[in-house]
Amino acid sequence: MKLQCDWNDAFQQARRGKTSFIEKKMDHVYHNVLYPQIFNLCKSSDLAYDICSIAITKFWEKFYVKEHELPKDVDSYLFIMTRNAYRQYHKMESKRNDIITSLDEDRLKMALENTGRGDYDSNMEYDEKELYYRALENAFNKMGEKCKEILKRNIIEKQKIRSLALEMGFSTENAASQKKISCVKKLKKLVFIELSQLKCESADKYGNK
Amino acid sequence: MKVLISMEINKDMEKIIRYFDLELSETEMDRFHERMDEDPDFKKGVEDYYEANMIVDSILPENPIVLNKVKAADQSKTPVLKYGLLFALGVILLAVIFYLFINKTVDSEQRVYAELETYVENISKNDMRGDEMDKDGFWLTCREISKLDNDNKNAAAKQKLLILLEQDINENHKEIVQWWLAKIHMEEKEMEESIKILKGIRNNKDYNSSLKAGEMLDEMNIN
Repeated sequence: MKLQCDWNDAFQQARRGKTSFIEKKMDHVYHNVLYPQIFNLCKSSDLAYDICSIAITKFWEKFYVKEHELPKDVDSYLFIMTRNAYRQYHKMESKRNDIITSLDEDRLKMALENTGRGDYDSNMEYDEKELYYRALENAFNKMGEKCKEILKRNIIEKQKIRSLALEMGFSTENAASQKKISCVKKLKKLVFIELSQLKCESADKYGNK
Repeated sequence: MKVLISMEINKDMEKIIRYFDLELSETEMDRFHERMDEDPDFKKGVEDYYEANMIVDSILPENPIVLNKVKAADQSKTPVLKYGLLFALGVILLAVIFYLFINKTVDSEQRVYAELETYVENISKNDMRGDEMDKDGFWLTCREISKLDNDNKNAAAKQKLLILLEQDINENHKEIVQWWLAKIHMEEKEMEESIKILKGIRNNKDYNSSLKAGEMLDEMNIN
C-alpha cells in the first residue's frame, strides 16, 4: 500500500510542477524491475530500452495524463505492461520491419501541412510510402478543427504543450495533454480506416501482389 | 469495394486498441495471439492497426518527462554499472585536472594520453566493456586511440575524436572528448582551436568541468 501512496504523492507533486520525485521513482523501477527483466529476455540493451519506453509512455498517458486510478501495485502493473510490450514486439517484428522501410517522417509531416489539396489521383497506383502519406492526409482532413490545430502546432511547429495550452485557452497543461492524446488516438483510428480503404481500392484495381 | 473493415474487425476494435495500449492480462494476451495465428482476417486487422499506429507515432515529437531521466541514465543500465561509470568518470576528470593544473611541466607527449588510458583501464576493471556500454562508440574509440603508434598519434587521435564528436554521443562522453581535443590542440600549439573548445566547455553550465575551463581561460587572459 505504501508503494501506491508514494506513486500518488509523486504524481501529485508532478502535477504541481515538481517532477524530481516521479523521475526518481521511474528511474528506480526502470533500473531495478523493468530493464533487467526485459534485457534478460531480449539480450539487447537498445531493444530493452525501446520496449521499456513504450510501456512507460503508455503508463504515463493512462495514469498521469488521463488521471485513471493507480493500481494497487504500480511496479507490478508497469512490469506487466512492459512484458506485454515485449510480447507484442515479438509478434509484430516482421511486420514492423516491413513498415519501417516505408516510413518517411518528413514526408508524413507534409501530409499535415498539405491537407485539403485533394490532388489524389485514384487512378494511379501508389507505393507504400505514398499510401501512408495519402492515408494520413485523408485522415487528418477528417479530424475536427481543434484537433487539427493542436496536432499542427505540436508536430509541425514543435510547440510545447505548456505554451500550446496557454495560447489555445486550455484550463491546465494536463487538459491540453488529454486533448492531444485523444486527438492522436482518433487520428490513428482514422489512418487505419483510410489505409484499409486505399489498400482495398488498390487491390481492386491492380490485384493483390 | 466499399466495405473496408470486416464486421469482425470492427467488433474487435476495442480489444485491438487495448492490445496496443498494453492493457491485456496475460491470459487475454495468449488468446489474442492464438487468434492472430488462427484467423487471418483478424491478424490483418491487427497488423493494419499497427501500421496506422506506426505512421502516427513516427511524427509525434514528445516523450513524457519521466523518460528523460531514464534516458539520461541509459548509458549505465544497472546501479552497479552506473556507479562504476561515475567512478571511472571521476578518475578521468581528476586525471585531467591533475594534468592541467598540477603537472604542467611533465613531458606532455606521454601525459596527454595518460587519462585516456586510465579511463580504458578503469572501464575494463569495472567490467563495463563491450557492446552493452559502448552504445555510442566512445569506449571503442578510447581503445583505438590508446593503441595508436606514437608517429602522428595526435593527428590520428584528433581525427577519431572529431568523428566521435559529430555523432550522437551522450553528454558525459562529449564533455570528456572535448577536454581531450582541447588538450591535443594545445599540445600541437593550435591555441585558437583549443581556446574555442574550452570556451564551449566553460559556457555549458551542465558540464562538471565548466568552472575549470573558465579558470583556464582566465589564466590565459581570455574572456
